[in-house]
Amino acid sequence: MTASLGLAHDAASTADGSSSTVPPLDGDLTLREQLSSLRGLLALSMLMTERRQPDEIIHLAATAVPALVSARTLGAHLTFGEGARWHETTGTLNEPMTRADVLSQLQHLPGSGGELAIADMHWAWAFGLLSPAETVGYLIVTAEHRPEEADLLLLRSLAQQTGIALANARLHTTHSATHTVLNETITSLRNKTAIHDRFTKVALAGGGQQGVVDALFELTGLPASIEDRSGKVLASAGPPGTQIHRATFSKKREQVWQAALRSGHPIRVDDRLLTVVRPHPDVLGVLMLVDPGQLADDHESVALEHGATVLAIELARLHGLAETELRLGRNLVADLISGAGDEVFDRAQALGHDLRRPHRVIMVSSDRRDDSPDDFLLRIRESLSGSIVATGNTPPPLLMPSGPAIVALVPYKSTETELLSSLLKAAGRGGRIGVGGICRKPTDFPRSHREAQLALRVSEMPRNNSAILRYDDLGVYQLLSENSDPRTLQTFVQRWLGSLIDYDAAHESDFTETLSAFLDVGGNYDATAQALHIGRSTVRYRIRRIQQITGHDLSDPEVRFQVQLAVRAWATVQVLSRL
Amino acid sequence: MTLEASSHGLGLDHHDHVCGFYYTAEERDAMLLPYLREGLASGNKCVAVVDSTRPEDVVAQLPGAQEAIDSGQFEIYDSDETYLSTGAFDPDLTIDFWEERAKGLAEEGVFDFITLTGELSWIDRADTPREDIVRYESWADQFVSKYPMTILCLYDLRRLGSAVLMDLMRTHPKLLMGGLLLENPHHISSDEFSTSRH
Repeated sequence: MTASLGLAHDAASTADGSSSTVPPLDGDLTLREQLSSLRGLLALSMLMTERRQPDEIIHLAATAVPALVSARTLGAHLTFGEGARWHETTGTLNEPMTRADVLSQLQHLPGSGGELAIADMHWAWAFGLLSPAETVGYLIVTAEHRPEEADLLLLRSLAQQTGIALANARLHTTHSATHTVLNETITSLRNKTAIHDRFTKVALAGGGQQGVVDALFELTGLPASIEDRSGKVLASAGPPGTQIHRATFSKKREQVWQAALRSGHPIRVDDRLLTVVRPHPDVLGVLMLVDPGQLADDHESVALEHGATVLAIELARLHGLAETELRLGRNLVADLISGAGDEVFDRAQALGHDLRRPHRVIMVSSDRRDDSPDDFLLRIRESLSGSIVATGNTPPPLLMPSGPAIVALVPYKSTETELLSSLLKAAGRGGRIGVGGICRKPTDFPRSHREAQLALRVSEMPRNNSAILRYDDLGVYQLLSENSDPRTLQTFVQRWLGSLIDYDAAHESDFTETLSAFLDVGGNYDATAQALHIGRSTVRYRIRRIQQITGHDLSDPEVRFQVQLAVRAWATVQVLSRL
Repeated sequence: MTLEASSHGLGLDHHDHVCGFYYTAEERDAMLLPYLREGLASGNKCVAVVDSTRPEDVVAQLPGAQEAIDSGQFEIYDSDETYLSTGAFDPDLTIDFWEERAKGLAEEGVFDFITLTGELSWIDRADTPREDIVRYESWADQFVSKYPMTILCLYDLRRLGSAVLMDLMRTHPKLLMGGLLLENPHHISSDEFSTSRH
């Protein structure tokens, strides 16, 4: 391929053996110079057409002038782009006054240009930078003398080529911008399609809440979680080994949820980007990205919005399922406490409950007046769900509203105390719980229900300090309530308290209540006064009147025992009458 | 004798002397690096003088360049230690330098071919008369034809403006621009050029 290094014999030989130059046109140096200048102009035109910046194009044109003709460039004025502006100005055109004057003259020139009058300049000319569609500006040239026509032709050609290059650059810029916008649009659409496809798969595959956060993490690279209204993390996804904790906000959670709901779009709160879905007034889910570095942008927001849509569908489905389960559960509870037999086993099984395992009936009541029965039921349901899930069971709790209270059938557990505490907390202010005895077969449920009712009523009695009462702990009330014939109890009460009860009824007094309090504290006047919030002398007066009305001597221990038992029996009768 | 179209990465033939014009460093490297890479790969003696970049930066971008320097195949200089070694451009001194260098290489007989490139972007910095450049480039036209070699001269248009392009286009039969070889069969000689400017 290469030859030995040595003198080459044919100095002008080329690849095809032809001469690399045309024989000189004898004596016609001027013609060859002009032809060469045109070749140079052609080369410059190609060079300018390759440039994309107007500054570069003008620079090439301005610096070419002295090489083409005996003249120099004063500057150029472009009328497109970001407003009109000067380029490559030198000498007098750097003076504001001259610029203003020249600009004024340019405004009256035709597109092809014309002569300019500039102080101390023998000859100055504005050559129009012409593109096929318009004049994009002027190249301003000066010389000691008006150039010859051939040189003017070169300058006009230079200006035309410059105009075309500038128009080309502008077109390229426009195309580039359009191309960029199109690319961004395509990228955005691809991203959205990918997001849509991914979440559609989650929806079709029934991926549930975990599927939503898995997809969100996969699409954004940011840890994702779902919380319920209270801030309990329902599902989360992130890098292996990452623990995603409940969000902590500088504002109250409810305020954050309300702001997100009002926005309708993902909002940033502290280190989270979140959106809230509420497919039902009672159901609220918060889908969030953990983004302390604030890396999330439109792509992540779009992913979050798509995820929220799938989450809303999922939550609506779960809510519908829960409603159905609740209704079925309510019917089952009603049948069980009404004495249904083994025929309910299958229905219970379908809801995930094994009634062959020991259960209890629990009744819960509350003094709260500020919430609806639905709210109360929801709180109890959430409390039981959490407790049951925590102990490894998953079926929805068996609940039924019963007047102002709620009946719940729960599996018997040795850790029942924890569950009861949770229920009492959910019941809120004035909450009371009555716990029935153990049910080992379906026919035991009516009994356990009655026991739970009795325990609840007793717990609601005045001066009772136990918010949670088990039937098994009722003592004398248990004995009295289990008396097979209520009439015997009634007779016993009538025998010992009949006159006092009648007196109270006739005079709207509460001597029976005073007597009950007096006997509960062992006949101590001070303690009775404190319990009833009345004066000691009033107590003494009332006890004296009670002895007069009943004819009983309360200082006699035997009498006092019988009277106290009668008071308990009276309370039991009252409770039983309300069951 | 013709090299393969890709033998110098720029499609040059033997005895081609071409001037390359660039506006950005990327455009410069798009001519300089393939030219040297191909020369080194072909086993040619490669001599480069750079001005707008540092020799070590060029070496770093050419695989095997350091080994070629160590073996004597590749020489690369800064313009200040060659063209401007006396503080200003002296065409006669530079011409003598290249003539002696080429003659020496020919006599050594180690290499069959010379790949030569010089960057002349220092013209404005050294306040060099345009006639000197035209004369130097015209000499290069003759010089390249005497030995089996190619010459690539590089010019920075951002620094020099386009006048140098116009002058060289008028005085040279061939110019390389953006990878495109331009021919001017009507070019004038350097003497004619000097005459026309006075």
